Amino acid sequence: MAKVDLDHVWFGYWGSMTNANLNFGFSPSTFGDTAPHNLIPINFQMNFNEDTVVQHCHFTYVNGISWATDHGSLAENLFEFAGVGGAGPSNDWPPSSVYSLGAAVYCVEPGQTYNGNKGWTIRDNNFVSCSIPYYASPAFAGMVYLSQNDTFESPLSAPVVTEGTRWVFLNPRGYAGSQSLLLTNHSDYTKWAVAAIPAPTNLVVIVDLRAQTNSSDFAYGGTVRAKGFSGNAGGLTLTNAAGAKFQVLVNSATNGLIFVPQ
Amino acid sequence: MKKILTSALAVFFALLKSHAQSSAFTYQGQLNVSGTPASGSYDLVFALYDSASGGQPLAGAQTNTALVSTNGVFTAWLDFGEGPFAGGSRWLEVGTRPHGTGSFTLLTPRQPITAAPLALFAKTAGSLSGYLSTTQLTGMLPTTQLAGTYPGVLTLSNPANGFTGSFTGSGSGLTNLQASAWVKIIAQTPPANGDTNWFGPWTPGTQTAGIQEAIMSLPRAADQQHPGGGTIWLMPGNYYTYTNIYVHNSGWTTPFTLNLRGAGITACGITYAGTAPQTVVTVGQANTPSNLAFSMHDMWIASAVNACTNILWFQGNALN
Repeated sequence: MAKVDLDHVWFGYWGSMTNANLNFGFSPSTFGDTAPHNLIPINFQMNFNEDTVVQHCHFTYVNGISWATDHGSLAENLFEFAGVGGAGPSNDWPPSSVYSLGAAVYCVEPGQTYNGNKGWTIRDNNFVSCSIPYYASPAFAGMVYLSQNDTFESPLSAPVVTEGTRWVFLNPRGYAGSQSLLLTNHSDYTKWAVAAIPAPTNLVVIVDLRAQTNSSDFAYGGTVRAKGFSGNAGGLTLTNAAGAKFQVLVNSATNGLIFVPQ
Repeated sequence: MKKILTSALAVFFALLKSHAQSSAFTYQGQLNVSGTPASGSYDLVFALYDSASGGQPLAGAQTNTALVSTNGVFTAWLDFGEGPFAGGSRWLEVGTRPHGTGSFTLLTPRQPITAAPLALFAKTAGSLSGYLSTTQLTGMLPTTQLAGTYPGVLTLSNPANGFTGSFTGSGSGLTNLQASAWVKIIAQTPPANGDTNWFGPWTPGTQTAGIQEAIMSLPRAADQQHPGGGTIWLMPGNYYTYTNIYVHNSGWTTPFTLNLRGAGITACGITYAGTAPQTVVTVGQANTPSNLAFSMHDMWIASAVNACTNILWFQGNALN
């Protein structure tokens, strides 16, 4: 494959698209949908491709996109009741298949050492009643998935279920808390919900510039200049130019700082 | 005064002329004077009646002058027009006199006008007056009479008019087509090899939720596809049902593109009609490099079978 360009395409299964309810788009069934979400709307098994573009598309009452490509863009799409939807229908995929998770987007590029040919843009996607918007494949050393400005409209369980590859959410909206889920039982993908990622972790990072909150630790190599600082200084450790470390303690009587050589 | 009598012999002949047929005819008779065939020039006057005696003339009188009689036989040329001959009985009144001398002497009795044997065939058109009007047409015209070419303008204003059979010709003038009648891909860029029927024949299917389906049979094997690519436009109001679509270009070295473009995502699309779990559209081949490019715009795609399978499946080289 050289290139795929999907623009303004609506994916669904026929039964859901031809019911009599005209309130939602191309008359999909609404909250009464109970049919299993089996269909993989797009299965990308591409390599050496020039580009894979999915934009302005609508996914209704299907399972999730299976995304394995070197270069791609997944932008401004609407996933509505995709994967395990709000009405709770499961699917018929066997537990050994990752598709049994019921995610809206399966990032299944196989794990290996990052060879520099991965270029993915994931941004501005809306997830409506998708319990698992993203799934990330097993540990992909040196690579991280980054999605920007996504909207997660409840109900949902977690922004991502990952088997080991990092995922950074930049400015997500509407997500339910900061929990994400680490999949530990690889032989039964239906058990994803019982293995929450222990915090703190860098495996899943949520950076919300609008809410001014971050969920995880950062390692920063530059100089930080700030007008003020607030927080628990008891956990602050400083290093001088000679490499000597000092632990900073707070005098509970005066609230002054005490530098204790380490 | 000479006793002038004419014989009963009277024969009518339609005039045969090279120009268009007129209403004139010839009348021949034998003129006797005192029982002897007349000779010399005589004038004859003719009038047409609808009775053997009395009444008013329907036409005439017409005078033929200076008829030269030989052994009493004369020939006169008469033309009363077509009006008096509407099917009723007619009698001809004849008068005669020596040429230019005295008054006419009417001969008795009036001569009945009878049909020429071949003209009896005209009785089968006894109800036809002038040109045959369309209101006089009844019954079904044999199909053999409808063969050929009709160059005139034909208007069929009755909505109940139906048409059975195939239609050939230009469809550019067709208007007000209903969505339910749009069952064909209207345009496509033919592949490079010139095959304009690339995606095979189609047949109309059923309607679902007001959308007409078109069932298309597509070649199954990769080798039956044609390189070159192109664009397929789907008309609004239709969806196309396939058992599956394969877009392969295994072994092709030239770039290949296929663009599927609809007129709107709520108006047209593709669905899968099979019964077994099957991918609706498969593009490329597993572990096979190619220069294939595929795009789909402004349409929807769905599977009629909600099974564990793909709707769109893109395959290429082994992943790394």
